[in-house]
Amino acid sequence: MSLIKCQQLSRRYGSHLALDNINLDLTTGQPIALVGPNGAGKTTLFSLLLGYIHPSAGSIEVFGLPPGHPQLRSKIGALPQDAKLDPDFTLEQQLSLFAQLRGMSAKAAKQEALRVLTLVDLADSLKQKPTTLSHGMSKRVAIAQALIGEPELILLDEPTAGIDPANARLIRDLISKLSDRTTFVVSSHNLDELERLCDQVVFLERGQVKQQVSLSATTETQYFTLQLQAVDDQTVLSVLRQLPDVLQVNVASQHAFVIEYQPSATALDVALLQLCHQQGWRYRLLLNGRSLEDTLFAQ
Amino acid sequence: MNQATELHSSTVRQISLIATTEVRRLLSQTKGLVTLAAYVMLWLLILLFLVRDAVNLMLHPDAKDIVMQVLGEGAMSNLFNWPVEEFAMYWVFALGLQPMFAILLGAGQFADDIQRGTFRFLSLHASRIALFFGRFLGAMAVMALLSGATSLVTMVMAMVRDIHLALPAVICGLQVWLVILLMLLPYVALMSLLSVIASSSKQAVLYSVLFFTGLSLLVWLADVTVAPLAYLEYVMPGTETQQLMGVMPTQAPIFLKVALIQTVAFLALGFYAFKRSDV
Repeated sequence: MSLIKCQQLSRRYGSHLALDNINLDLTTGQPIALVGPNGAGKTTLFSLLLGYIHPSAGSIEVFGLPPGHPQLRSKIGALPQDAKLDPDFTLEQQLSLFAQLRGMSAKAAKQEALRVLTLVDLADSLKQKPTTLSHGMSKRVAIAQALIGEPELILLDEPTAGIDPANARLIRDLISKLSDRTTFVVSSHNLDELERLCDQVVFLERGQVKQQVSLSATTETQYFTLQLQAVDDQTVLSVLRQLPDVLQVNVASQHAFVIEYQPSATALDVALLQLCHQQGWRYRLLLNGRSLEDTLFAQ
Repeated sequence: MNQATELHSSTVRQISLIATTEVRRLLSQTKGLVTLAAYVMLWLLILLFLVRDAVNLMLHPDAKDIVMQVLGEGAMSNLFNWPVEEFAMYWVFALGLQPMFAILLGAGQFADDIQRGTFRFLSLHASRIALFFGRFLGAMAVMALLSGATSLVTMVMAMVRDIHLALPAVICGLQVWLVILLMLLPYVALMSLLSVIASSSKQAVLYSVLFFTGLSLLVWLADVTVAPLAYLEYVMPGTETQQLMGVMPTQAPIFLKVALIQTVAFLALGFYAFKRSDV
């Protein structure tokens, strides 16, 4: 099912072109990652999808409808970046209002407020006002807000930025738990996090889609990533390249090697571990595949 | 998706929810209650020290003759025809002061929330038409409560002076209240527009000052430069204030046509700007 379709989409802020002629076609299913450096256009793309801003050129469809369409409202939830809740009202009052605006009765809206706050482990904060919350708690409340009404699509703009590891994990677990009935589109700088959550990855740079990859897609060649402790990288490289079925070996970072091999190879992982043992290399990690970082930034 | 959300909330219901939230902000939040207290205290001072003294003067047998001699037949002399003198004076003060309160309170409709990003949350759950008109009606409801409270205090003042004035005071109070609200419509609608354009409520107030002073200057220049500039007067809320001072509330509606047209125009422009704005 078509989720998001952008055709020749551009957005300009004065003379600055934030999004440059983007074409994108995403389907419902597993969480989708939106990756890119600061200023790549991720938040602009989210803002366009949510109808906060309007395109300078091109078209957008979400579930086949233009952003802001009344029928979309019950289908989409979002964590917008840099948005703050009303400081005058408690979380319960605000989340209940949002639920009522979506069509729930006052009673059902109160229950919904409690339900979504429970999901982000903040049920105790129901009567608190946003000004009394820490940054991490505010973010979790904003995520709770995105879950109101169980939308089919949830856009999360940097959901774990600035929050502690325990809460970041809670959010990741929540996304994983809900992703069988909701499609998440998650933007983040944390590639390790996205790798654990997402299958499809859209890489934006300078307002353009540079890559769109599926981490589970089968390719003509396959990869192992081997990370070692305190070795001479050049020596390791030359030894690894001599292994049968190995096509190419690259140093991804210090003491980390990405080994490209033919799919027909059998037990190469066993051979790698034996090699480590024979050479006296202490390995830290043997990964079947490449990290998202290596996939996106491989030369 | 659960059953509750399958029912798309109607725009009217969303408008009502948003407007009610603004009233709740006034009545249940410290900031709102402080605003309410400040407003009521200010009006109490006006009513106790200006209106009451003016009423005492009006009740003097020679007062009308003195006013006629000094000011001639006109707006002020008509005040002596009111059945309840308190409301005659309240009318004069309300026509002059309530628009200022409407401008100050109406300035916060959009600007601050857009800057804070609160509208990003709201617009995920409600349409822009509901947000715009909900906030406008909320601001009007707040003005209705505030001016209603002062009208009520004026009723009590009249009854305390003469209990036989109870019925006329209630009728007069309700009439004055309704006309004042109609008169305030274009002011609040203008602030809806300016609050969308401005980046803060303070800036919206400054824009309103520029709007009124700039247009007044152009209208004044019409006499010495281009005569059609005088028509700009009809763009300014309050063009009917002078005429309203000279009539009773029951005669007021014929002077409020311009105010209603202005309201529709400002709301249309404001909604157009809000619909096109980035939140």
